[in-house]
Amino acid sequence: MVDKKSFYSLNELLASPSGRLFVEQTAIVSAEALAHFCEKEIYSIFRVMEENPQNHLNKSEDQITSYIVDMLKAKCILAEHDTMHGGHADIIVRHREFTWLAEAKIFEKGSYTWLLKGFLQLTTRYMAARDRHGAILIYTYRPDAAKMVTKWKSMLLSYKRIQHVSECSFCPLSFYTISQNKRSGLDIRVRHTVLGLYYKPEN
Amino acid sequence: MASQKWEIPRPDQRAGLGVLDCFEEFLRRNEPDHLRNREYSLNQFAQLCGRAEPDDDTLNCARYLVSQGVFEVFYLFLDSHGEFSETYSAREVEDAEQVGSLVDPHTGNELSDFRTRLFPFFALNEPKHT
Repeated sequence: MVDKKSFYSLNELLASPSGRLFVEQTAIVSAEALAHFCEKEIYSIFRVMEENPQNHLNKSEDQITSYIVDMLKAKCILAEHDTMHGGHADIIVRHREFTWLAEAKIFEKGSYTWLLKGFLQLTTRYMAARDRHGAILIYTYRPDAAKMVTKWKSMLLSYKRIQHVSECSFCPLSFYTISQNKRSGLDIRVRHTVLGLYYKPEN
Repeated sequence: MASQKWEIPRPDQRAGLGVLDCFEEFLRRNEPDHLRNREYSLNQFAQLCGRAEPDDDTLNCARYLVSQGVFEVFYLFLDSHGEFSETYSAREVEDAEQVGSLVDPHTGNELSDFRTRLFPFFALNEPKHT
């Protein structure tokens, strides 16, 4: 007869945020599951940063990315910044044999060409033949992030390499594209998501 | 192979996990054959990390070690006779958590109290060749 008191149950795990994260993260056994996990974690970090944009004024693209990577590391997620992976990928998250890649771009002066450059860096340089999931993180200090997302989406839709665009179910400032990994011919799913840091109080 | 020791990769930042040092010392002290094919409960793991019982640090440390491929997590099911009788993968347990039920492996009945009958355990993966 097992003495239950000597063992920690799933119920006890689920009672704490770190326990819930344990249940979720230790269950990741595919690149797709890792991508979903990373997307949720990045979303959570963006929400925290957006609550106090005044703390992130005038930061460079690299400074913001470093901050995000530090936040991931603080959660004991194996995140790296600027690691060589076909080039210097902005963010790499590793879990077991799986990797998830993200390219960050700051949206300044309304340059969608800069965003496109990031998308091409991610999908044609950093993503290896077997990589099928990644993200474009768009940082903006400009107002009306939703308008920018709409325009970026329509630009991508007119871009012949994009096969499909779909909405994110939990974040209106995010969407997904499906394109082809030229190395492998396999589909690549990229999440495009915005960190809105506009801060100009009018009171 | 038998003499291959477990080593925890050292990234540029170890996320401030002091408990990792404790666990690493445990790996260093023991011969690989002594560690192989053993199961560790979460309570035992916490003690190996120098803690009296599982806390945030040990859970974070465990996640870190799973990501590094050092550990595999699985769950043992406590049956109605009070014995551990079945093994579930972490994926199966996460799926059960998502849908809110687990099927009793013996009766086929849906178990709504599965959360109190599943207990996490760890097993070391084979050390990586360096």
